[in-house]
Amino acid sequence: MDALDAELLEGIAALYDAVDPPPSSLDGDVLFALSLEALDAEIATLTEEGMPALRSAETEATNTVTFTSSALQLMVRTSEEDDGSLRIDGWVTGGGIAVAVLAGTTALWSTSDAHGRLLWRAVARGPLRFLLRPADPGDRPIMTPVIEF
Amino acid sequence: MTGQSGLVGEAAELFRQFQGGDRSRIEPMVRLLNPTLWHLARGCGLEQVDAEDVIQLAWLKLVGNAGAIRDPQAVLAWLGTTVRREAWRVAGERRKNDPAQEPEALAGAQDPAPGPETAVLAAESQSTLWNHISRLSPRCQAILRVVSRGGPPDYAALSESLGIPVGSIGPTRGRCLAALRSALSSDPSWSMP
Repeated sequence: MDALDAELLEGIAALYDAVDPPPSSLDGDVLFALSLEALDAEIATLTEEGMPALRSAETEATNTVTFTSSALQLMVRTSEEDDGSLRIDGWVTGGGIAVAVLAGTTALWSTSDAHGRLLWRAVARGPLRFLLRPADPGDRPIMTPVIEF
Repeated sequence: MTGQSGLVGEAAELFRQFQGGDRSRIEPMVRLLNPTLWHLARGCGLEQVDAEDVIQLAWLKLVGNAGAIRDPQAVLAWLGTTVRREAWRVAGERRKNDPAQEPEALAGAQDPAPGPETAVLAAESQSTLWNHISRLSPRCQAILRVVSRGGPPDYAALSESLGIPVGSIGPTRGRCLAALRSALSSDPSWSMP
């Protein structure tokens, strides 16, 4: 390794930065994954899946999915909005529970009403998961597995 | 090489603070080291999506094992090794599922082939360099891309991720650089910046 080699390697590093740079979303995605991990959430289990998760053009796809954790249960039902995006109706065992739909690195929050009802409109299709923040801040948050809607 | 000792030292300082309880230090660390980890993962032949997954996993592992890393100076090497090992595992799985993809594909970066997008190459010297690098063997391309990121030479991990015996890494790097130098020296459009 002489000075010219070192210079050349430096040029190669700069070159790859130009032709194949890291995606601009990389840092944000990593930080988001780390922040979810830091929540130390309990992972809920998928206990029931009504209707196949597969979609087909002919059927009016309605999926009902139920998640269960040690303390809470969340049921979600998806239906199609006019523009092809999702309407998600949810029911959780309790009022005043903040629940987020996590799509990529965006979190869409909704808080359950007195009957435990939740609603999200115009959610883009894709892999989604739910994050539940119990009303009592002393309780662990709960995260569901990722489901493709 | 490209101020690697600076990078190692900066990462070590941030990680020391992180281990000391300042959890917010993880963000500048991620921003500082991701470009290096990206080129490592891509240099190991991973597609973009896989490279992103592998890097994310490495960070999750780092945070999960932060207490076990005694020497903060080793944090970049630790992340790099984790990325390379995981990249190697994923690349192996991909090859198993798609036997048409020969190990030569390890040179990676095939999606999208960082083709002759000369527009993104700032200087003419860069496009000349690119021109000659892309004519090297895929193995040379991979090894130069990874080695140019330097870091503490970790030939064991490099050997694993590139599928090259440990003892051959130094000589292979030397041969690849020599081939590149000789190609460049006979190219009248090349002048060392």
